[in-house]
Amino acid sequence: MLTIRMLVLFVHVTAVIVALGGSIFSTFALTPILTGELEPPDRVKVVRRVIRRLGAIVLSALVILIATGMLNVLYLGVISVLLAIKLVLVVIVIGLAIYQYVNLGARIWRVSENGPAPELAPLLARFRKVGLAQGAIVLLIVYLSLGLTRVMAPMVSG
Amino acid sequence: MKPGVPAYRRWLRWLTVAVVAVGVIATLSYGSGAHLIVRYLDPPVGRWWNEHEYALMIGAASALGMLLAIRFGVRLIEDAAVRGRAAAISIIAGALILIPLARVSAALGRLGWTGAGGFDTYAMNTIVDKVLIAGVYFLKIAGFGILAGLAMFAAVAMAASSGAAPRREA
Repeated sequence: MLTIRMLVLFVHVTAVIVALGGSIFSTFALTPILTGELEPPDRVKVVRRVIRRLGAIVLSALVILIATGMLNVLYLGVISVLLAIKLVLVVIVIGLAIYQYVNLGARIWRVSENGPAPELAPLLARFRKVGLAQGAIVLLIVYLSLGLTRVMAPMVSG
Repeated sequence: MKPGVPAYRRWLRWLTVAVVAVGVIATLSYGSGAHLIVRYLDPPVGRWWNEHEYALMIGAASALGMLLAIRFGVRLIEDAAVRGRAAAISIIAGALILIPLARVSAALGRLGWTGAGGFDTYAMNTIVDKVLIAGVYFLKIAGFGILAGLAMFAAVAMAASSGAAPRREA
């Protein structure tokens, strides 16, 4: 059945898939292939474009996540300890995303303007580390969300 | 104020001080029913204050949350030009979404830990309890403001960083 509540939940879950899926694809599929198949100058050209575009996608998805997440809590009608922990983790994830895409992303963009540079490798390594940390926290958030829906459903209905 | 402080930092500081002042006054007044004193002194002003103190309280709480988020977000950006642009646009965007955000956050702030509304027994409490409940309510709204403000800042900062060529702050 398609209700507004279901639609909001659908958009929320889709935004998670887009944000997390994009990062996973970039880290585990695109980057290793680029490293193996392209020469450094071409690789850098592709990587900097990917980082910028992925940043726009992930951060836009985060905005949608927050907007739909707030509506979901309204529909749920409960603020539990589990939800409070989840919200704190969400704040950390957004902070990491800003650091990853706006700070590190901009530095990578600047450093790689004229092709490969010695400062690029550590920046890319840090970019990857921050991305992995972010992904791990998002997975934890997803797990907590499952807990929320399982614990809260009988509580709200009963 | 130091001469080299960027304009956006001054704006952030003054706006934060202003919303804290408005928030504290409105919350204390809402919790203690202080509009009665204002009504006694000047009935039309007292009536206006009574009608608007709640809106001012939730608006100030949401604005405070967003401003704190912008201040935090700004610290994560190295590039001075991006930082300034992102902060300025975020302040404007925050002002535009303030009213709907305050309404949603106010509704979220009423939710209790058990699913029952946190304000169910509000009217039966003493003045001290009411002020405390209103204070917690204010902080909960500010918390949701932080969340929304940070998400808004992330999108704005990404757009701002895609603009002109970045440069380091001196």
